[in-house]
Amino acid sequence: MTIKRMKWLDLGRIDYEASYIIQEQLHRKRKNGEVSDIIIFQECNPVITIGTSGTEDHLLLSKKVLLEKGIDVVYCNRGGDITYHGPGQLVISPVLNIRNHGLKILQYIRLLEQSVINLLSHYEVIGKRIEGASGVWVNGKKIASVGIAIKNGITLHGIALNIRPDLSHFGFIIPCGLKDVEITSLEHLNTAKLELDQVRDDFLKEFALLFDVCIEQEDMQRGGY
Amino acid sequence: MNYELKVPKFAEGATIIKIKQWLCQTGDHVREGEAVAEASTDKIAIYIESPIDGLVHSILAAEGEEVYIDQVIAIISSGEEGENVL
Repeated sequence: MTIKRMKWLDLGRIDYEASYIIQEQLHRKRKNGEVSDIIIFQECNPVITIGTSGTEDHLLLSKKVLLEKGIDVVYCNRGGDITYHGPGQLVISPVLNIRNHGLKILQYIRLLEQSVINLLSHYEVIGKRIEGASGVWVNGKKIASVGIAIKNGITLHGIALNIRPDLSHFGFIIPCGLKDVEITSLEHLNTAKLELDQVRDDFLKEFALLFDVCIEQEDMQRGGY
Repeated sequence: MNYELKVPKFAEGATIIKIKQWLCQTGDHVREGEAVAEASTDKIAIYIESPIDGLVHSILAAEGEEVYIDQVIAIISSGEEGENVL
């Protein structure tokens, strides 16, 4: 039996739009068969992103005021409504050919969520899915949000896990367009202080088990990122 | 020869799928693998690609319309003589 191999790449702290350019490049290369599947990790500078189902109606402050607070507002091509990304949050974006994994898109999303649920158990946090909603929830509060796009059978975007972001920034939007949704983080749940690198490595273990893949680090210099 | 452009099977399980926008018009030339329509569900943006190089013969689902898996949403014509696959 052939072992499926893929790569991971950590862009560190980066502007959302700059990271998306890299993601699109890798998507194009994946489509052309020049690279394997790859998981991109990043910690974004503060940004509010509006997905294909979203509108500015779910912004609770003007874009001008948000910009003054150092928070950019960006439209993007992922599914879903509006969300916030910022320091202390790990954004995980697999560029994955789901056909090669024999997955339908919803199966893929459920596995992605399950990877995070299994990851949370490392820190003695019980994450769950909620019927009719996506993402991962802890005690009725959302800790990880999902939003993806799929082109040519290959995924873009993914899941964002709150480790220790400034949760007050979620108060500038109606997260996911759902009123009364509360957001939480690992820090808020009083787990020991976690570094994003540690969470990334723990996630990779869980993802590899669930997707039955061997994941190696991509060489940043060779890739020219 | 005419080809049916369908809502892809990999979207199976998604609750409500709607055509968000067409990225082409009737009469446009499209290339194999080119995204010609964007559909969306609650959390997923799905780009639907042309199966062939050809001309957009007809568009069969309107923007905002709810569609289902395997539904034919457009006809792409290769412009070649031969058996019609429809």
